[in-house]
Amino acid sequence: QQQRPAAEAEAALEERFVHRVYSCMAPALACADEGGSGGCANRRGPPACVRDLLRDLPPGCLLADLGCGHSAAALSRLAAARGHLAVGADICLDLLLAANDDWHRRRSRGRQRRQPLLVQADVLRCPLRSAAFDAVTCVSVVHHLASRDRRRRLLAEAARLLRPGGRLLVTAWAFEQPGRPARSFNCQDLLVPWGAPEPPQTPALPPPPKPPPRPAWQRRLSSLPLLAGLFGGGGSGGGSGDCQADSSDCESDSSDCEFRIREFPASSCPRRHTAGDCLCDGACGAAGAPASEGRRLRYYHVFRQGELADCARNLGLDCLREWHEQGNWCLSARRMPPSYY
Amino acid sequence: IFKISNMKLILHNMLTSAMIKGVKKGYPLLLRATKVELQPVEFDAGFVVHMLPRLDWSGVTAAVQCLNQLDLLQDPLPELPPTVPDDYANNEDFLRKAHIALMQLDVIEGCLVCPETGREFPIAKGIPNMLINDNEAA
Repeated sequence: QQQRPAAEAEAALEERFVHRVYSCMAPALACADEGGSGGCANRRGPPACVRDLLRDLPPGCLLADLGCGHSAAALSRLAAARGHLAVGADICLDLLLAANDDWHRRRSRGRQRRQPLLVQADVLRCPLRSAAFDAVTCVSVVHHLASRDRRRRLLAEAARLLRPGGRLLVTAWAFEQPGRPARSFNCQDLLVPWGAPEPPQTPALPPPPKPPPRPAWQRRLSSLPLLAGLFGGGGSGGGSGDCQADSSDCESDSSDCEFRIREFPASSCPRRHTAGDCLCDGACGAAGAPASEGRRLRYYHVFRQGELADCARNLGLDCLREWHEQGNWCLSARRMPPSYY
Repeated sequence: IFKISNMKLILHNMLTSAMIKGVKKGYPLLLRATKVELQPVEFDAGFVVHMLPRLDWSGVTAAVQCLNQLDLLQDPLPELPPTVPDDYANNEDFLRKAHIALMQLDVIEGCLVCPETGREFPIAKGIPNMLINDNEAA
């Protein structure tokens, strides 16, 4: 059946501002993992919460990683160390090929059982058997879905894959960011340039005193659509008038680079720049970075505290714990037996 | 140039076409392989023992039968019993046969087929493509 027009728009947004971007960036992501002073998260493997989950599980579990991306090989290796088997699903063939390539570059002889098991699939239409998995991980994926309905569908698929008692781990970029003082994004739906410093953010508290009236050129800068909400126009990026940011938040200056969100999720480009692999406009301060031909924008819906658990409501999941880790909200949940929902 | 890995039967065991509209079970997928190869993979009895309860054994036997019928290997894969023996945890002969089928058999070329609709899913560069069109979705 045809999708609702809104659903088509949501899928189109994801195609343009998520899938296409990752496809283009797949070779750079693969190379960034080579080592040296690269900044991408996967140089150090999966994040701490995933490592903890793998340790918590009894040996010899079956794990599904939805939206595995190019780090499927790293997860596979880590899983194998505990005798687990991981199956990775992702919509992007380029990222899966990068994962295979990564495995080939690093494997040792006779350890073929650690080969990543990969399938190209839409995680909202997941071709994996129901109730077959001891654990499902979904790291930095749900924040790329453009509506609450689609985000819930992802969690519903994750719940379907889990056997009763199975564990779910979901992580997403947080609206509330660490730092002193604490900061937050100025709205929840964002287009984030790849490799640029993190979007300028307004302090969470307290609001500054009302600024003097701004000259017209500053008012125009502060309504840049880059950081505004995508639906319903305008959003809260300064155009609506109730945003406390002044115009300098929209200009990249060196002070933005001091505030760097840690590499998980991998939204920062490698510090070591070589010609062609840096798509930011040099604002991150790397010496010799070439001028960009255009910045790749990625869509994010950043999550507020409690929002992941709210998203997971009434899906047969018992939410165990939500915590903040390196700028992300993490949710751990357990699949309830069928009689519970 | 990316090096590729090939599809293992242990992955085939997890895959269904149930996301297609109208499909009741979509399992096991038919294995229409055109090129396969046996790889040397270290036998790990403990790993096989852990995985066996998590597999759908009927899917394993169906896949092996499929492949033996296609006659793509010099020697057919060892035949597997229709059910997992009760003493599987100590039955090294059985575990080794299961290991060969699940971990050593590489599907290099071919496709997976929905048993109810005949819809084909190609395997390209060792990775099965299970994407469907919007009008096929449930």
